[in-house]
Amino acid sequence: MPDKEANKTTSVQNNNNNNEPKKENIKKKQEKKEEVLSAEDEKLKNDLELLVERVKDTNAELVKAALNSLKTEIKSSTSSMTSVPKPLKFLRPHYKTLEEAFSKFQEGPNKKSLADVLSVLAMANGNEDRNTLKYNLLGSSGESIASWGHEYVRHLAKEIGEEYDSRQNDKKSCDDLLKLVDEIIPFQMSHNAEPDACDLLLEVEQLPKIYRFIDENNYHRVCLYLFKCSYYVPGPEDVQILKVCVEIYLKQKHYTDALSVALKLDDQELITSIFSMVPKDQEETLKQLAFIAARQKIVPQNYDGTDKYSEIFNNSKLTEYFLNLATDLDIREPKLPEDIFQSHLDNTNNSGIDSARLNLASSFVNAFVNAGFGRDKLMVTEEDTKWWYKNKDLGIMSTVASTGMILLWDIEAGLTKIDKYLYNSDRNCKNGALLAIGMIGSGIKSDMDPSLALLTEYTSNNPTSTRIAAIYGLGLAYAGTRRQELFELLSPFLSEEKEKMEFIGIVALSLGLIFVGSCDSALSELFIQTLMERGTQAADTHARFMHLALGLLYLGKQDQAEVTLETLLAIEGKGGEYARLTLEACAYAGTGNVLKVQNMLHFCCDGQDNAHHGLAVLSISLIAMGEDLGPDMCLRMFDHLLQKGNIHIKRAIPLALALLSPSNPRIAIMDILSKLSHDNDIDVAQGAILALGIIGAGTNNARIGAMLRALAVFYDKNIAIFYVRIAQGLLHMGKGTLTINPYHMDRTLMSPVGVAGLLTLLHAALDQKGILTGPSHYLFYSLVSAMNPRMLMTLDENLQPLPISVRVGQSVDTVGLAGKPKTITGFQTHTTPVLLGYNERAELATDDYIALTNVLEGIVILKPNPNASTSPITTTTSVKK
Amino acid sequence: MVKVTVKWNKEKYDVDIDTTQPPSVFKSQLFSLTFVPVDRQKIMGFKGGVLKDQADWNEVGLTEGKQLMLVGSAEELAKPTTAVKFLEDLPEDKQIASTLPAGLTNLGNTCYMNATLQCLKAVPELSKIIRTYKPSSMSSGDTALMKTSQHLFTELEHSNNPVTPLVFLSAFRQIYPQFQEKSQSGIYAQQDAEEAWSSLLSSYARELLRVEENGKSTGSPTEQLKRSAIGKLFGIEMQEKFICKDNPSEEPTIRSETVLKMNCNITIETSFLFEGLKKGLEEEISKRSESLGREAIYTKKSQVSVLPPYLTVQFVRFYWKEKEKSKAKIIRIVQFPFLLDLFEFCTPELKEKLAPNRKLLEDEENKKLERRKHMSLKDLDEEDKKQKAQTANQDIFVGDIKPNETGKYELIAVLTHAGRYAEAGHYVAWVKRAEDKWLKYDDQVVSECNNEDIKKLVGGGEWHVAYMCVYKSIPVPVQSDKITEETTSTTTTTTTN
Repeated sequence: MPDKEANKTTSVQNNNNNNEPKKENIKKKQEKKEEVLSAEDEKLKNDLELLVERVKDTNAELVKAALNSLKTEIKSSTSSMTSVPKPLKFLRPHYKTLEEAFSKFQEGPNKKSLADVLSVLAMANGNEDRNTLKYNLLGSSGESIASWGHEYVRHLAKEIGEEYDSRQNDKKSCDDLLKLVDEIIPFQMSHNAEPDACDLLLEVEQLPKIYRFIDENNYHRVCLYLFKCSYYVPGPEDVQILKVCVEIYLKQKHYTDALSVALKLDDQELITSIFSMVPKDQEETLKQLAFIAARQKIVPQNYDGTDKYSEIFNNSKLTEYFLNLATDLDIREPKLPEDIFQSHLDNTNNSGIDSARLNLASSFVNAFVNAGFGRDKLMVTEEDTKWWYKNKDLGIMSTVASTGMILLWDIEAGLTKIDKYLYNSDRNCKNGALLAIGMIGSGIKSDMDPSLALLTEYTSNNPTSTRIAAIYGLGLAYAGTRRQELFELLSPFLSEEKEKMEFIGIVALSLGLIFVGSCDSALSELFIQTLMERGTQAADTHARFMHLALGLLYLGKQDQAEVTLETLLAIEGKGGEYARLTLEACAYAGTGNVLKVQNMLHFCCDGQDNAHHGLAVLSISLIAMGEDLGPDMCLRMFDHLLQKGNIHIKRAIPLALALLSPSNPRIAIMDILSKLSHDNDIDVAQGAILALGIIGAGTNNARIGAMLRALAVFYDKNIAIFYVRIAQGLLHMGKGTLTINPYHMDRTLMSPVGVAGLLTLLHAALDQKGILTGPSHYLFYSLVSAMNPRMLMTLDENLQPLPISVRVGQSVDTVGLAGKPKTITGFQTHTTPVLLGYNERAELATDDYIALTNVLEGIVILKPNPNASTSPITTTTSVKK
Repeated sequence: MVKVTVKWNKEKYDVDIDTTQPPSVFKSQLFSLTFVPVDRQKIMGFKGGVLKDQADWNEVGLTEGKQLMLVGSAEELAKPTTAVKFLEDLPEDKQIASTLPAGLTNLGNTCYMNATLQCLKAVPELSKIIRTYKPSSMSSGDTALMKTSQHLFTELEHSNNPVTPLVFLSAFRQIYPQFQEKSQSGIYAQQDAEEAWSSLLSSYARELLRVEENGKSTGSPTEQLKRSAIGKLFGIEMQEKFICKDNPSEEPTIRSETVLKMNCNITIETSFLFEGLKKGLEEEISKRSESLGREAIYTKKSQVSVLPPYLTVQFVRFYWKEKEKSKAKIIRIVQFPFLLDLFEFCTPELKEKLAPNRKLLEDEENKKLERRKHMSLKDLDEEDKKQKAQTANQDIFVGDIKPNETGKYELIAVLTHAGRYAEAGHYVAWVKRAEDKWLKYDDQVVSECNNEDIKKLVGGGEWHVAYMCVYKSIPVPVQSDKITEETTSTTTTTTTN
């Protein structure tokens, strides 16, 4: 008993001791402490000292025995995570002695054996010259690395990485290192240290070696870690890493995970090969893959559009699923704009006279709130409300176009309802119908191509306003499809010299939307050529859409945009500057590339009064969005810019904040925007109000709702009321069921079409007077391409809705954690279909079914679990109850 | 014959295409199925977009079982018959008219004046009189006040922003120096709104009469008041009967008097405006009795002989407390009605005059009720609109001010006082704008409220308490038959159109 007590006290002391950071301190304390060492430790210390003495002996046999017992002592010692094992501690003063002894040793097994011991001791000596590795390489190769414990392996791995780097610089051979790596990796992989193994392999550029050690237990952790690593690795290495991820998933036959990584790579061949790799009997897996690809609006090359998956790829059932969700949530009843404004609660006056501006705002609100529901109380009702007529001029166009958003995705029944507006004698009414026809098919493909068939005839030989509506409709309908016939149809319009920049800008924008991320060189040349021919008009406010279109072509394509960026230097003046900034930002969108952010910041800080500073601010958020750290750093940056920056910067900051977290009402951003929404500069205030709408879009966030109602009273007589109303509409978008966040698949995948839609609106908002408040308010509808239901809908293998209970909670970052940690926290159990907020994850609450994808988002197919604890039949009945 | 499937509006139709016939035949086949007019049919699914009438079946890629899509509808988009007027289209001053009227800025404890002015402005005839006032060559002390009032009322009418009545106020203080009183801290003191009200009206009355009669006004002040426009608008003619209490045998003396307001005396029993008014009409005074040759107690009984078009009622809420040497306020709850009937207070002669008119009014109301019972909601709305339009169309003829002929009044404005003391507190004006729509004029802040808010002004606490009320007479529905005739005729014309 007393012995144990003593042991405890010393161990406590040891712990205290080890908390001291400095070596000298440790030494001093050790000396002091020698007096209080327990009898047991004293003995160990003396034994070790004796062994060290013996190592210096000339008798080889004696030395061998001494070394062996030293090794045994070291290996047998166990300790807590935080303290240095005792033998190592007691041997530390003798490290130099042993090193000297080593240098005097003859070659032979003893020397190697001593090298092993020194290698371990070097670890505790905290040296800088990679002695652990040095002595390990000199040591006996027979000795298993694992026997020295985890800490040693970790230390070794670290030094290998450093050594590899320096040898690569000196162009020396690394074979011995790689041999050692081969030894370490299996150990790490089998001991829950997959991140370490990945790190080591990344350091020595041998990542494919990991394939050999992947099994069904560790593949997920490895891939998760590698995937996250790819964010912090400069190109082209990140592509390599992601390709390894795909390979691992495929080896483990996890096709859905492989596909989502392949979609991130945006590699058509890889995506196609994944589809062809799925065994023919796994039809439901193929369907699930199709759902994931359809969400990203990508179709594999080998798919001919006629088989049973066409419905999924075409997204043609989206409207049905969405209405199913709406029915389940009991929100199909249409809402009037007044239901959103609740202006009877405010003490504002309604004069009873129609205000064209407010009616237009109501049209937008009506469109956003009832988006996708196919029913409303103003435009698509049975009884004719004549609401469209209560608008003025171009307001009629946007109002009639709102039918397209209300009937969104319902291409079959919806077009018939829009048809009657086409025959009206009012030109604006007809134009609105054309835009509606385009909008309705946003993200939906159809073999009949109704949008193309109906709109083509209006793209030429018509008044400019009609052509604009038809062309922009095509842009919205076919965004991201890269259809060649549209290139042939639209590109000739760019060279029509008599048309103004407004028309040219919309043509270019539509092409940019259709060919987003395609890097189409023919198109980019055409754009640049047009810009050059237009000369000074390239700086026109509507020219921004051509610059943006150019950027969209290279969205997220990083260095592939370099050549075009160089070419753009040929365009002089403000127009060229706008184009270069936009292109650079678009190419690096969502990458978090620090160098590019710095470029933009430098541009902002040149001390001049340049209107494009605002664009640079917007570009910063475009680059920084989509990963976890970037937005936080941006907030800090913007704070400084707000204080020191000029008015152009200040006007762009609300928009930049909106881009950072669309449909994700973060309190910090909300607070800044709330402050800015009362700014003296009307453009800043309007931008902030719009931004409040964007960050709250489709969330019904109560706090933003209260803010906007207060703003509605504050700006009662002001033109800013238009923006307040629209923000209110955005907030209640789809009655709280839609999101405009372009990130999906657990926030890993960026939808280029979604980003394009958001960017169009934000670029338009950079010039509120000239564009959004002015005649081009229809550009608010650009958001349609970013709109998607934020739902989780579960289907059975026959694609019929299958309600099942799921847990929905805040997602937890599990990257680099051992074992199978919980992925959500603070969850609630719901029955599908269910809404998912930003940063929320779902998991199945029963084990009766297996989901065919790991990410429960959007539309998920379930199949019965053969190993379920209870039979599936009983649970389905219980759910039905 | 080629069999195809045509999708239209979520429905599928199987159609046989006779390839020997042109596409127009196929379209008429579709018309019989869907009733979509042929020229509105847009058939998709073929090569080259929408199927054209002159297309060749061999070139469009027609195959057996082909899926086609038809877009089109038989629906017509009706164009509204009347053009919509937008706020943005209106000229600037009309835009203002459609929004809230302007308030008045407070120039340091001048809320009593602001509230008074807003209440007086609620009488359209007075407002018009003041705005159309033309000063005569001779000016008197009241002329300046009248001129500034005119300026102020015009400004209030046309402005959308708060108006500052600085010039008006200095002119007013010139004539009535008691309103110049300053408190110890050097700022103007709070004043009694009723005092300001009657001072203002008497100034107006004097000046208007002077201009009208070219400065040759004669007669006692009471008579002058009676003759002036103000008297015609607000003057209540009373028949006062003095009965000597000490000597019942003495013949009661009768005197005629014109007052501008009726008082509602509040005692411990008063809970309704009516009771208070009644009390105000019967009081005991002491005066010299001729028959007794000494001071005697008389009961003074007043009866109304002429009812004005606008009746002002004052709640006598402030009284001088001898003990504390201060003006105190009675905060007792006194309910006031939205509709007031003064029939009971009238002289028998007047009653006789009123009776037939009252019957007409009642009949009209009964008729209306009866009609409403038989009418659908829609018609009701329309009728309301028509009536409103008619009332709006009736222009104000100043020369044509008629006394009340029914004895019935409706509430149009309330002046309230909030707070415990007369020297402090806050005055606010509440003016009726439309049915169940009131405007609250709180100095420069003008806001909307409804009947419920007005009902809360009865008193009983710190909240705004009614101090003065303006009632507007309800006219005799003489032309009512004409109106109904007119409306029926207009309805018939619109229907024939």
